[in-house]
Amino acid sequence: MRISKAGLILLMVGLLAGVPGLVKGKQAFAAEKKLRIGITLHPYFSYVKNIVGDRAEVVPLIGEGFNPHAYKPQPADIKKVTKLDALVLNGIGHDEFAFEILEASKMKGKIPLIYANEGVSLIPVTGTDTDRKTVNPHTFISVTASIQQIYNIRKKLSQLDPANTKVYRKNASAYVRRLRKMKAGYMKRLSDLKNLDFRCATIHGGYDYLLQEFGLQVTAVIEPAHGLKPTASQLARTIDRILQLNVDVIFTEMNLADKYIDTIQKETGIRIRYLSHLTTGEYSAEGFEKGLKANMEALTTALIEAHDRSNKK
Amino acid sequence: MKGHVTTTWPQIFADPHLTRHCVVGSPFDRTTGLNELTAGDCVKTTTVTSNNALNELLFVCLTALVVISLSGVMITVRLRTEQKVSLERHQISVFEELGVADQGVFNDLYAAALEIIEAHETDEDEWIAVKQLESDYISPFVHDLAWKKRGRISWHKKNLNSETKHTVLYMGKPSVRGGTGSFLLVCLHEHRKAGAQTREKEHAPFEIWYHKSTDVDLPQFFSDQLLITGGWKEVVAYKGEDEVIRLKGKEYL
Ligand SMILES: [Fe+2]
Repeated sequence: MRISKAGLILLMVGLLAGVPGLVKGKQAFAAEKKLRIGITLHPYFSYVKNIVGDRAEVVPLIGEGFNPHAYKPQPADIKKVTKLDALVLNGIGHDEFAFEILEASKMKGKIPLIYANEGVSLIPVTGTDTDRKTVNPHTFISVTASIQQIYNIRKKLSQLDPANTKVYRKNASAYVRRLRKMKAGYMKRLSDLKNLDFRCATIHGGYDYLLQEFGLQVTAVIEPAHGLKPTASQLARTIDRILQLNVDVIFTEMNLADKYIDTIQKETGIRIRYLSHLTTGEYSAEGFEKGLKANMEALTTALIEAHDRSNKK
Repeated sequence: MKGHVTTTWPQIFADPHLTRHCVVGSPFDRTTGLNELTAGDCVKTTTVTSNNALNELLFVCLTALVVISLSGVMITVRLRTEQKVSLERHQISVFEELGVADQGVFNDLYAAALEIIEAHETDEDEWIAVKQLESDYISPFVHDLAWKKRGRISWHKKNLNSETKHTVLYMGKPSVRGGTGSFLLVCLHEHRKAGAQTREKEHAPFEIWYHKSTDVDLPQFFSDQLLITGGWKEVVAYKGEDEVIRLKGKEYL
């Protein structure tokens, strides 16, 4: 086929004229299209929702009511991940299922991963009966470690969605201020406690960051490893240990009904209180604040109680 | 087997480094599968005095040697997979070397640094005052339960801003001895004149230094060398990305 010179020039001009229109069209599309940001755990839903407001969509990777400690990916999860623009995840041991989903959907490397804990200073699990230092992945059960994550996620989202940078910054600041104020309220109630040597045991090794920001530390963790039940002999040893350590209170999980906790209570006579792992229930913007507030309430009450008891002695 | 048999239990003591680079990872670590051997574990070897068979003795000795060297290899492999951030001589690891109270101050200060920089970015050229940090409930500045339990650290600020370099120091030293040392937060960045090319920042936006002593003075200017000779150590955090790399490898970051 022969094309005349003039025809070729005409074709080129036409093509060049079309390019800017195409680019412009794409930009307009980008401005209108909301990002779809996937999240793995409940607190991340709250963080991201509070940062983006209505400027982006927040999509939980797995359904409500699953235990993140033992979740096996379903075909629907694999489909869901292919439609995301980014995924916010813990990445340090609390959402293994996300990596399985990424592998199974062949999305590894194709979707930007926002590690909530990037730049977050990690601490070990305390109160276990080994000398091994294991990283505690529960940075999402705390105000201070959450603030670090919120700033980090905000920064990463602004890079993906620069048009909304200002909004994200403003929203994140307001959210952080609210969290700080909530903690300060509980701290105020504790301001009269003097020289209290507070000793607590927790069933799950998830509360080091929370206790840390109260200036406290977990004395004993009962589960032998993250999310595992103790065996009969381990349980017997644990009971001896918490009796020896003179523990004031045992914190168990809000949604954990297990016979072995009753056994511990019966054998030790120590008061049981509840802390929430913050990874159950509805995904909501205010879920994290509500759950954390309940945790701080439980901790504050336990502290005041222990203080009054030690003063009576 | 005939003859006199004695059983000995030679301890393979852990390399002193092993206690420093503490073992990390769940005891049920499926990725390495190397958790059978722990620091302080005993390796059982058997010394056999044989009546006549020299090669029997040789065989047993050789087996013992193989077991011991294998243990050595396993310990090194483990050290490699579990080693944390590599440190320079003037640095200290918060995860491994600081006590619980110091760790708490550090983590609070680390989060506060983000807030201080955030405030600086919105309110050009200003560095937030210590009083303001207190009234904004920002730990470790606010006088709450944690503050009382961690040596009642008093904080002082020194603004070292110049035209092209913004630098601020916040130094805190405990007013009562009680398990915490002194801390120095340094926030720093460069401002280039209008029109000049902005380059990628060469340094971290902030650093945290630590001194064991509770009796230190606020430095009059900021230089690594000055701090190092004064006995300060730069604190290095073990961060989320370090753990992602350890667990998943670099390709996942
Ligand atoms: Fe957990």
